[in-house]
Amino acid sequence: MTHCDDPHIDDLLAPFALGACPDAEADLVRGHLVGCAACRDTLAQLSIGRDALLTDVPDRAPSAALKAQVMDRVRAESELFGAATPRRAPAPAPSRFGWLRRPLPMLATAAALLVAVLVGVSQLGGGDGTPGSRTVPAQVDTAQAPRGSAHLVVEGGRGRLVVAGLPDPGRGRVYEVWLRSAGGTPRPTSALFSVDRTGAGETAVPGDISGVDQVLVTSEPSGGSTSPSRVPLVVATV
Amino acid sequence: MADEELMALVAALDADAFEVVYDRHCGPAFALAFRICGSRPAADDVCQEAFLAAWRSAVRFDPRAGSVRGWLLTIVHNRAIDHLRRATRVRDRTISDDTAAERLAGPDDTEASALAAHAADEAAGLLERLPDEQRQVVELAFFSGYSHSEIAELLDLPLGTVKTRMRRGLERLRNHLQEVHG
Repeated sequence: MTHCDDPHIDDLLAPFALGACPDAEADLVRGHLVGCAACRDTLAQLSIGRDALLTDVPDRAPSAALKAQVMDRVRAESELFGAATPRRAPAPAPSRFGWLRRPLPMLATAAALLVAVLVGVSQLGGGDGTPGSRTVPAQVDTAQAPRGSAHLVVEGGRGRLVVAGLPDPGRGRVYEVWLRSAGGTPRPTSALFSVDRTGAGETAVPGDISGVDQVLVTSEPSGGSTSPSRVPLVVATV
Repeated sequence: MADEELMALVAALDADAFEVVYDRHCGPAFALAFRICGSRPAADDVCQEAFLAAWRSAVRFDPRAGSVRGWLLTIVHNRAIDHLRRATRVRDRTISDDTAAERLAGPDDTEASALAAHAADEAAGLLERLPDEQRQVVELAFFSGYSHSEIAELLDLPLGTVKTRMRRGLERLRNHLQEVHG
């Protein structure tokens, strides 16, 4: 086994493999690994034993209830975000409105079915007036925001979401921005925002959205979530 | 259908494909979560979190980096250790930690012997192949979520000694596996 010239990092590889490095040290090791083949080789060797420990535990059977809880959520999210599932009736061809047509198990009543509302581009003009920018109208769930509207201003791979007429997300809650690409599951972002008394708000969409298909907004607990817990309030198809 | 093919479907939000993945790997996943967390309710919570995280990040699974089972179990391990760290503070760690620390206690200590026996029940074959001093640090790190410095403090050892024992323990495990599997 080869050894790195940096004894400090070499010393940390075994703790790193076992998950025993504090965050700052783990970040240091990860950064070093990018450029050090010797350390990558050493870590790969140490990980053989480490990986075997993952299955070197006494058998314990999970409950049927656990599976039911997991699969209920999985199927709800699959329905929500428009997947085709072979055992179900053929789904309509994917479209920007597809998720609106399916019954959504997360909604409490039929009255809460989503209705798409397009905000006319003519009302918005050419983006925010900045040359090179374009405005993408967003669909707003009128069941959640009867007077709501939203649009996404895209310029040079960056986006800014502008909303109006949205309800206050509520005590202990915040609006969270999600990004979705290639039909995958929505990815959380650090963009958390609320609205003023008139329901107006605005937030930058983190990162480059050039490869993003949809920008979504949901109401989440304060601090945000790692996966959407509610039906999207706003959907902008980029 | 192979796991990797299923994961491609899962990445496209195919719930049926995910159900097959779940059925194949839920047993080892739950066993690992239980081993770390020590209780069924905690293991349930960890597994639910882990499998949902896997479902939502399936598009990031790279078959070149390893097996689906290895990827899933790593997620379970990380979530279980996070759960353990949230649930307890270092000074309040429970029986499994005391058990590991007491493995070198003398035979006159009845309580330590009982605790050591409990841990021995939980420990499976691989760890038992390590010398006590190496098994102790590997177990405290991998199954109890302690950092190397916390282990050094817990066992009253120099930090360098802890790191060395971790390294030698993992190398010994690797050598054993290579002898067994070729």
